[in-house]
Amino acid sequence: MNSLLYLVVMSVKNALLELPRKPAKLILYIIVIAGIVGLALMSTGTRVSGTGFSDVAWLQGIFFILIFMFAVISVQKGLSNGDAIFSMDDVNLLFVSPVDSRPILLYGIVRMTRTALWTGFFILFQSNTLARVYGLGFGGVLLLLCCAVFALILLFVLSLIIYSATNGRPARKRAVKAIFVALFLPLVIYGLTRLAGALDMQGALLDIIRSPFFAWTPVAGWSSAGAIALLGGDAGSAFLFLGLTVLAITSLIAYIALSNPDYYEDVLVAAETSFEKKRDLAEGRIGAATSSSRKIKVTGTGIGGVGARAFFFKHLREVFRVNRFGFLSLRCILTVIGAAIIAAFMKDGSLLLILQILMWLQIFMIGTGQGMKELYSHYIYMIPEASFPKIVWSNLEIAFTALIESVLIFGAVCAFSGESPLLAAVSGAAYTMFSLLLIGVNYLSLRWTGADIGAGLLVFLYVIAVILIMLPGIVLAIFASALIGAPYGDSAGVALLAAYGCVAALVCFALSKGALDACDMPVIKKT
Amino acid sequence: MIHAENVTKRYGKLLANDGVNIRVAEGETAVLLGPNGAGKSTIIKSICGLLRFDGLITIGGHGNRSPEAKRLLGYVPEFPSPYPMLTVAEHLEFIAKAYRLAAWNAHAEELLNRFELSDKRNKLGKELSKGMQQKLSVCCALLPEPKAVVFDEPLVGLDPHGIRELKAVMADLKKSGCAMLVSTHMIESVEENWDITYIMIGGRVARSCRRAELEGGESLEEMYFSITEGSADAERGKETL
Repeated sequence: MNSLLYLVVMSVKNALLELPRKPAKLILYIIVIAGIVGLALMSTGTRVSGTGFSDVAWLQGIFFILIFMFAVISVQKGLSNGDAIFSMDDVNLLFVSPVDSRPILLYGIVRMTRTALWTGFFILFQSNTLARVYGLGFGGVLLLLCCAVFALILLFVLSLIIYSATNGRPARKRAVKAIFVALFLPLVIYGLTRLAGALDMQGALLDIIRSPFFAWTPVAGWSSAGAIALLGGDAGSAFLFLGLTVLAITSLIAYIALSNPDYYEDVLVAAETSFEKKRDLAEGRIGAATSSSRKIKVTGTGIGGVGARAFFFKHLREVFRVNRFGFLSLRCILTVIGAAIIAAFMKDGSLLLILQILMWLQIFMIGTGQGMKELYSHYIYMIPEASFPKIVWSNLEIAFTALIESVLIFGAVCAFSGESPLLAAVSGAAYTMFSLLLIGVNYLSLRWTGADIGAGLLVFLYVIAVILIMLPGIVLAIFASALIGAPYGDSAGVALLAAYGCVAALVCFALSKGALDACDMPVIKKT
Repeated sequence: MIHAENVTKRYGKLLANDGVNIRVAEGETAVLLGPNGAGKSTIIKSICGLLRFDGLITIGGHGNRSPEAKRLLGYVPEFPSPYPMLTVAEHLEFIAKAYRLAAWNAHAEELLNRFELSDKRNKLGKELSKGMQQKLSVCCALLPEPKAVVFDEPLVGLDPHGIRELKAVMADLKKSGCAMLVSTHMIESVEENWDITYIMIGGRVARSCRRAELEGGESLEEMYFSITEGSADAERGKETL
């Protein structure tokens, strides 16, 4: 058997044979498959023929933005290390073997397809929404996924070529940035002229999406226009735009294979960087694994506080070093802008919707705080202070972050939606208290599991625990809101939710007292 | 100073440490040896209070999770993990503040000089090479002037100068009465200064031996191989039977 085919077959076979010994992975796969099947059935069930659906052009716009975001990431990767097409075992075993480099490239691209498929997978989980809002069947969703996968493969290859062409050449890097901006410039200019002075903003936005400037923008425009044409049965346009994407992929691969068979050097740095990050995680250096390679100029130095308080001042130093605006991160600014846009379009009801979305996101974002990262380093355990003050001071930074985010996000939503300032204030309080509760639940899980549990299972149990803990508060809030009624019902309900979150957080912290002395220092376990 | 009695540690079904006993007195250097997977890092992490265990571990007579024990103990981990966004100098400042050290600057300066980190004081943790990270890790462990230090593979990644300095530092610590527990695969690096050795196999201490107990000019390395390879031969013998 061909060596590369053997490698693929055996990898798949061993991954399947390993499943019974990795119950968390098995459960994850079962949940994903069951979820997709369930969503397929639900989207078929909720599909309504006829009118009443949103204009599919909006879907084209959303798809464009999605691919555009991936394009930005790919170009950034291309300008730094390139995309990790190969892993270190490929480098150590395949690259030194007497196998032709061209089939190896093909093998790498096949592996990339798998990554692209996983990346585009979340589109499937939007089946129900896509069916309800745009009348899209599950087949349509699969077509969207296919278009996204093609676009992602093109971006992977593009990233490799950009790295190959610009590595160690600053002038070429500047040229790539200029070309990238130039490709989007016609659309930006057209968009700005169309929006300037437009009375009907929605109409103007629809005109922009339907314009040729939008469809002919490389990658994002091609794939979004192709996908929508395919869904609408416009075979000509679909063939044109998706054909452009496929042509670009094959041309770029052919270019690499024919012009640069000695591409190993170009993919080595990305493979090594990816390997280093995985090793850092496995060895518990979570800080190193998550820190960027961006050059940082050290200006102010020094750390305040003594004892456990030193953790808080250390985190302040770290936060302001990563970002000169401190707590005002790029993520926060983007969230404020996104929330303001939703509020401007949706007006009534936007505050509660945004609160719900942010609370969901916060469940997964809370672990990115400095306090949670601290648990993977030995210092917090070995510093001779009691456990509880160390927990409190090492998490104060994330509490501040949540508070500042609350003020900015709900202030902006209030301003753009015209909803009650009282509702905005209590929503901010509920969001901040929920963040504190999540930190408390994290420590509680550490206290009870002793951190001797796989990461996948821990996240699963953590999400279930958060839902169960919040459920009584949510029921109480809904009940209070219905009981009091307009105009203060919603505010009272959310205020009750905030108070409940505060009490629940305090209980979690109290129960997790001594967590640092009663757990194993966690390591990233893959199962 | 370091006292581990009947320490057992399980990871699920895996028995990583099985009734391990280790004692290191003041001014003694104990060497922890054993093949990969013998349970050396597990007992070290248990001693440092990073893992839960069954049994008893005390540092200077205090339970190893107590603040008193932590004040006495220094730890140089196998994999150095400096804070990526703190400079070298800030690492030492953070340790000094967190440990509530008084008049620490001179000692910090001395450590930075010994390990050739003086000119790197404004470098961020993420900008340091593996060797420099290891040197910084040693400086952080020694800044609070601990009475007991646990080293887990301390020489890995160090350049020749770093190795020489660390050996000199360890000799100075020994003279000052500091108890040291050193886990290493580089047996020749500890051949000169060891007092007692614990050889671990399969989660248990297969043999503990004082330097004076070695017979007929036998080296530490020879004793190690006689035990570990003897054990492997015995295992193979059992399988054959």
